[in-house]
Amino acid sequence: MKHKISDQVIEGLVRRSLQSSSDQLDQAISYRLQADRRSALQASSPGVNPMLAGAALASFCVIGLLVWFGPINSNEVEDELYIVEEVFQLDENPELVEDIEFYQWLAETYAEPEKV
Amino acid sequence: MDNQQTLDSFLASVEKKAFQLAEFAVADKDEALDLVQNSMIKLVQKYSDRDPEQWILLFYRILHNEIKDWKRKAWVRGWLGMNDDQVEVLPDHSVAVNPEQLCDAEVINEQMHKAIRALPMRQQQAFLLRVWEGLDVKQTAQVMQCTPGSVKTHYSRALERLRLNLTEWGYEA
Repeated sequence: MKHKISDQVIEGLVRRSLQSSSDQLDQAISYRLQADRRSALQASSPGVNPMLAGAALASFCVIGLLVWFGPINSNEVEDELYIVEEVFQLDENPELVEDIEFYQWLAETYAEPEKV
Repeated sequence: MDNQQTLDSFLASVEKKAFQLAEFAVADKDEALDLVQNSMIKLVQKYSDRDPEQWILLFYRILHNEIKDWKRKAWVRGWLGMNDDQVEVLPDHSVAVNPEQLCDAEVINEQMHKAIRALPMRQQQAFLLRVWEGLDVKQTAQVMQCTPGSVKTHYSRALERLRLNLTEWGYEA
């Protein structure tokens, strides 16, 4: 009778396999990663554009007014909380959680605009 | 060492693993490089002032979201028939392996790569974050924005699937 392959053996094989492919990454990829890192770091201290700052301030004020005077739909908030609670109870079936997330995203992103 | 240097060292320490993780998920080197680049830029622009100990979780969380978005967009493009080139590479389950070949380290490496690539995305992510990046269950859950219980489930399912592959190939420890 064959022995069951242990978790440690599988993890070890995966680590070795990944380490080997990491060591063999071709130079083009290594250079590209280095270049991406450098350009990301250069982008870390962008100057503040006064036009953008003004637009941001205006947007902030509009959002603030909307939040302050806008109608609060408590049912919506409760529904969302209910969904979140349900999702966390589905610990046994993570694929289903992923599907729900996906269809929510799909509906939000590709929903038809409401007809007035 | 100033913040810029610390960030540079941090990104240098994760870039290869991040690339591998992304490449497993999207099965395309160029797309994987773009996802890693976007994640680096977002980390630097939004979180460079955070405690460096938090960077690893933040970075992988950004990368995880980038991969998720990429997959979703690829799905929609495929559904709408907008894909000029094949975006989603179907897992290759029909890998014929001669058991004698499994003594060869290169063959094992190649087979393990195919097996990891064939894992469902969340199993693959949970498994690689735990085994390859060395995150614990709680950290992996933070990156994947799910519960620790889900991480454990994904991880054990991935292990089981890889064990099944190895057994089918006639691997003996």
